[in-house]
Amino acid sequence: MCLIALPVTLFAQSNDEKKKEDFEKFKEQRKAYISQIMNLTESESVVFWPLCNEFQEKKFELNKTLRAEIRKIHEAKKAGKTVSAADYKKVVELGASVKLKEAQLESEYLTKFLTVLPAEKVYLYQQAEYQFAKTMFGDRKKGKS
Amino acid sequence: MKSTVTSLEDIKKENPFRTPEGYFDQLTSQIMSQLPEKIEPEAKIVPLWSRIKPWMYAAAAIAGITLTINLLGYNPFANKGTLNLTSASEIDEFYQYYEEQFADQSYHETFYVE
Repeated sequence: MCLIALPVTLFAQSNDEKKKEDFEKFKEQRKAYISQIMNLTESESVVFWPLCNEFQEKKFELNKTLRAEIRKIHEAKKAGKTVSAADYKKVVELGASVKLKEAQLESEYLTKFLTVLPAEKVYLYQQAEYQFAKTMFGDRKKGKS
Repeated sequence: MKSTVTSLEDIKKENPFRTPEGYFDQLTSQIMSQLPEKIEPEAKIVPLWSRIKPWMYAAAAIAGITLTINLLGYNPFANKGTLNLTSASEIDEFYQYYEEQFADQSYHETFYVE
């Protein structure tokens, strides 16, 4: 049994390693791309990027809870189970509350950005993430499940 | 008068003092019975809870501090501000999140693109 499991785990490990490497590349590309659009100086970059990443980390964590609840509904439907009205209501309310919190988070961090960057660059930041995402994921939209 | 003086040799021979019969046989037991009861020091039974208590208090204090730090906005990313995700499933989820947040250009283009 172990002999069968071993190559699977090795395969999974190297797959994971590759994923981590690719993610590091993704982060580097994002940083380079966005810094270029914003025309960040070296000193601005040093201050801005930890804040910006922190913003994304928090938004990601916020989003996770909503994503998990939506996934539950999808899975229940796939399994042919009925989803109760209460479950739908929960997700609807959670979605609204998460959107509100995201907006508050964005407001908080844009204010922080404004203390370390000229206003024009903060304005450019908002487009920059979108543009980067489009270059990375834009083509994928059609194949999205 | 009859001389009652006895010579030294006569005195030496016999011991005029006698102990009562059986005096020594019972002496030890008599003394022992008259001693106060020996107080055995009570074996202290320390209840289990008392022994654990200081550790429980320490654990509760540490838990309380940790919880407070968590509630103060700690996020699970190691090295905050570096997007340091360590598990492959987290990375996948991040890509999904990122795509959903930003790849939908249509709304954004209306406002921002010149």
